[in-house]
Amino acid sequence: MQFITDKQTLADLNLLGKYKSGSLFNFFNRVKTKGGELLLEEMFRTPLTDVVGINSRSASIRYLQKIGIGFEMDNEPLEDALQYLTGARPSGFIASLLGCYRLKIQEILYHSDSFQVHQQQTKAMLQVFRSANILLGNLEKLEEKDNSCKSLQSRLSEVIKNVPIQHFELDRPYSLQETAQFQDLFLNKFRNQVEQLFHILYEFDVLISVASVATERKLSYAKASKEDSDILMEAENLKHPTLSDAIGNSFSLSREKNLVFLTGANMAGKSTWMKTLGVSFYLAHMGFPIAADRMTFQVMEGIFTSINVPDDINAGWSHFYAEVMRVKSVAKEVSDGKRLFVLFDELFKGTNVKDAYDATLAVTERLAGYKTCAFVISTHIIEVGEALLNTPSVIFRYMPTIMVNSKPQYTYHLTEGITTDRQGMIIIENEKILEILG
Amino acid sequence: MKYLLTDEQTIADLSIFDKPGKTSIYTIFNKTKTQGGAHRLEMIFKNPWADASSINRHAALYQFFSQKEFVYPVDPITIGIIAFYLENDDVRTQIKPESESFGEKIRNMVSIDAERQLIEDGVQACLRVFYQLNIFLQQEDSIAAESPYYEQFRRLEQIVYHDSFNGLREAMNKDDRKLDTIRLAEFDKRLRFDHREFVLQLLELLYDLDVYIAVGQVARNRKFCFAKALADRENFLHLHQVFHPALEQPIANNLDMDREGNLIFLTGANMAGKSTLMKSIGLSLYLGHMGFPVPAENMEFAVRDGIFTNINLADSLSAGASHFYAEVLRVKEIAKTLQSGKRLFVVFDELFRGTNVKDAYDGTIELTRAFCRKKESQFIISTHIMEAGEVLLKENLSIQYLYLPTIMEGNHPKYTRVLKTGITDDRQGMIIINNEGILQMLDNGLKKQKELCNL
Repeated sequence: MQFITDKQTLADLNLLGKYKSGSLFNFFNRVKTKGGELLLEEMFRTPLTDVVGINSRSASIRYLQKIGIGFEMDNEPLEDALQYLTGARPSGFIASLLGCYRLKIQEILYHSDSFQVHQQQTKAMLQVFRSANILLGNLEKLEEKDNSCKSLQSRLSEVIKNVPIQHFELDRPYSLQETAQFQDLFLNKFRNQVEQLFHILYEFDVLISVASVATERKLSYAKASKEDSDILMEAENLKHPTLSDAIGNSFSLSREKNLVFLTGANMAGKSTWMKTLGVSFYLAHMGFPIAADRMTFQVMEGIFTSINVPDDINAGWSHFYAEVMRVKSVAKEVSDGKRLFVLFDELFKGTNVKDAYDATLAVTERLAGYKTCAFVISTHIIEVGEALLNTPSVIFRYMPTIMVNSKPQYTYHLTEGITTDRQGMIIIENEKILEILG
Repeated sequence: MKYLLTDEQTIADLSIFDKPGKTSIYTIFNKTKTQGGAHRLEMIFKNPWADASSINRHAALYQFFSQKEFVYPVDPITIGIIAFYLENDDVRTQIKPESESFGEKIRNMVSIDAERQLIEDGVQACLRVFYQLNIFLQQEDSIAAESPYYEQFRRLEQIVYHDSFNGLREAMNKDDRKLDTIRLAEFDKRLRFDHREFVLQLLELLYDLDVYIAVGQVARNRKFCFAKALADRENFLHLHQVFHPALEQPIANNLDMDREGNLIFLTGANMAGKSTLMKSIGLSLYLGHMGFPVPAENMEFAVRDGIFTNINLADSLSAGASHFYAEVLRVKEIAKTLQSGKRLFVVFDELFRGTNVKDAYDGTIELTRAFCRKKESQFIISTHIMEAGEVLLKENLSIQYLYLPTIMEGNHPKYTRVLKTGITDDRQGMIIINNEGILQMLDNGLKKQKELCNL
C-alpha cells in the first residue's frame, strides 16, 4: 500500500531535492555511492505503511549507530564494477575464453582499448568484494547482542562466502585465462549473487549514513504502534531536525482529541511548529530518526499539508480557488475513510473575513468528527476557536507573544488555550497614534 | 512656490519610476528626444507642486502644446554634441588661428587630433542649431502674446538673434565642408567662451521645449485631460471617468470628495480591482499636481500639501511583526503630518493585514474614526473587514461607502470594476465551497462511518 501525499506537501516540508538548501534529503544524504543516493531518494518518496517494516528499519539504523560502524567504499570502483555487470552473459568458461582472445587480438591488431577497460573493470569488481569483505569483518567484530541488522548482515556474508574469489590477487594484469575465469564467475555462475551484493551495499550505505547523522545531531527514534491503539501521536520535546537551536515542544493527539486548533501571531512560530510536526511524522514513517526525547505514533496512510501557501495578491481569486480545490481533495480522502495526518496553515486566508470565518468553522467542525485522522489547523481568526470550545475533540494551543518595551518577542513554547495577544493594538496605543490624531 | 510632500513608498506604489517588469508612468510620458529633456522630465516627476498658481500655469503650458502639434525644431543628436562640447571650458583648448605653425597645418591635414575634432564637431553642431532655430522662429513668429509659451519663445528669439551671434546663423554649410581655421577659431571663441552663458541658456530652453512637446503629445495621443487646481476651495476632488494609464483595457470610474465625504471606505474581493482603482486615483492626483495631463475625462481638485499611499505592501511571512511595526510607524508619521495642519491625500490598502482579525478590526475602526475628523484631508481606506464598515455606518461620520462588486457566473466570479455605493456583501468564498460540495462530502463520510460502527 502506497503512502498518500502530494507535491505541495513535499514542498511545504522541504523533503526532497538534492540541490535545495535545507532539504531533509540533503540533511540525511551522506551516502558514498550513487546507488545509495538513489535508494535514499526512493525511501523519501515511498514512506512505509506497515508497523513491522518501520520498526525494523529504525531498529537497524539504531543498531548501526550504536556499534558506530563506518562505510568505507569509493564510488568509482562501484561504478566500474556496475559497468562490468552490464556485459552479456557468457554461456560458459570456453565462450568467455574465446571472447577474451578476441579482445586481445583486437588490441594487438588495431590498438582497441576494450581489453584494458575490461581488466580495469575486473579489478574494480575485485575491489568491491574486498571492501565488502572488510565491511563484513567490521560488522562481525563489532557485533553486539540483539543485532537488528542480523538478516542484512547474514545476506552479505552469504554472498561473500559463496563467490569463490578468495585466491585471486588484486593486481593487474590478469592473464587471459584469469580474465575468462572472472567472467565466468561474475557474469555467469554467480551473477545474481553479485547483483544482490550491490543492493546490500547500497542499503548499508544509506543506513550507515542516516545513523551517522543521528549521532551527530543527537536524534532519536520514534516508535510505531498498532493501528488500533488509542494514541494517534505523542511526542516529548519535539524539534525540527534541521534547526539546530529550535525550542522543543510536547504534543499528543488521540482518537478522542484528534484536532489541534493553533493560534498565534505571524512571527510566533506557528508555521515552523506545523512543519516540525509534518516532517517528524513523515520521517517516522520512513523509519528514520527524529529530533525528540520520545515519540510514538500510529502508522497512518498519508499526510497532507498546506503551509506557506504564498499570499500572492495578483493570483487573488485563482489562489483561493486552488486552495478550495485542495481542501476538497483532502476532504475526499478523509471521507473515504483514509487515516491521514492533515495540517492546514491559515485556511482560506485569500477571502474576506466573514467567509473565512464561516468556512474555517464549518470545515474544522466536520473534520474533528473523523476519529482515525489527526488534524492541525491554524488561523488568525480567533473567533473560530471560541465557536469550537464546545467541540470535545478539539484541543487548543497557541504560540505566545510577549511585549518587551513595546517590541514583540516570541517564546516558541506551545501553550494551552487560544491566544489573547493584542500586540497589534498595543503597538498602536504605544505609538499614541490616536492621540496624535486628536 | 511650494512642493508636494511625498515619500519613496508612495512613488513606488504609484509606479512613477521604472521597476523591472512594470510599465512606469515616467516611461509613458517619456517621449522626450534629448537626454537633457529626459532628465528635466525626471526632475518634474520628482517635484510636483503644491500651490495652485504654479500648477495651473504649467498645466496651461502643457495644454497649449497638446493643442498645437509642434515638431521638435532641432535634431537631438546635435543637442547632445553641443552639451558635450560646452563641458570643456578649458581656455588652453581654444583654437588659436595665429599660432598655427606650418608643421601643425601639415599635421592637421594628415590626421586631425581628437580634441580638435570634438571642438570642430561642436562648432558645427551649434551652427546647425542656429540655422534650424532661425527657421523655427520665423515659422512660429505669429505666436500670440497671451499664449503660455510666449515668454519663453521670445527669450529663445532674443538669444538666437543676439548681436553676438551675427554671422553664425547663416554660416552652416549644407555639404558639411570643413571650416577654415580662422573662422573656426572665431566661432569657438564666441560660443564656448565669450557668450557661453547664452548658449547654455539656449540649451535649457530647448530641453524645456522638448518636455513640453513630449507631454503635449502624450496628452493628445492618450486622450488625457488637464486637471484644474483650485486654490480657494478647501477640500474638494472631482474625478470623472478616471482610469489607470498602464492598463490596456481600463475601466473608468467617477469619484467626488469634499468635507462631508472626505473618507472613502472601500471594500470588495481581492481581484475586484481595489488596488488598481486606488492607484489610478492617487496617480491622477499626483500628475495633477505636476500640471500634467491626467488619465480621466475631467478633473478638478483642491491642492494638497502631500500625497501618501500604502498599497502593495509586500506581505512577506518572514518580515512578519517587524513589518507590522514598520507599517504602524508609517501611520504614525502620517498622523503627525496631519496633526501639523497639512492637507493630505492618504490611501491605505488593507491596513493591519499582518495582525490578527480582532486587532485589525479594532484598529481599522479607531483609525477610520480619527481620520475622518481631519476634514481638510482626504482618505481612501480599503479593507476585507466588512464588519468594521457596518459599525462605522451607524455613527453618521463623513464617510463614503463604496465597493467593487463581484458577480458569480456559475463557479467563476466576474468583476465589473465599476464602483457602487455601499459595503460589499460578496460571499463568493462560501458559494464556491458550497458548490464544490465539500461540507456535504465530509458529512456523508461521517454518516457512513457511523453506519459501519453500528453494523
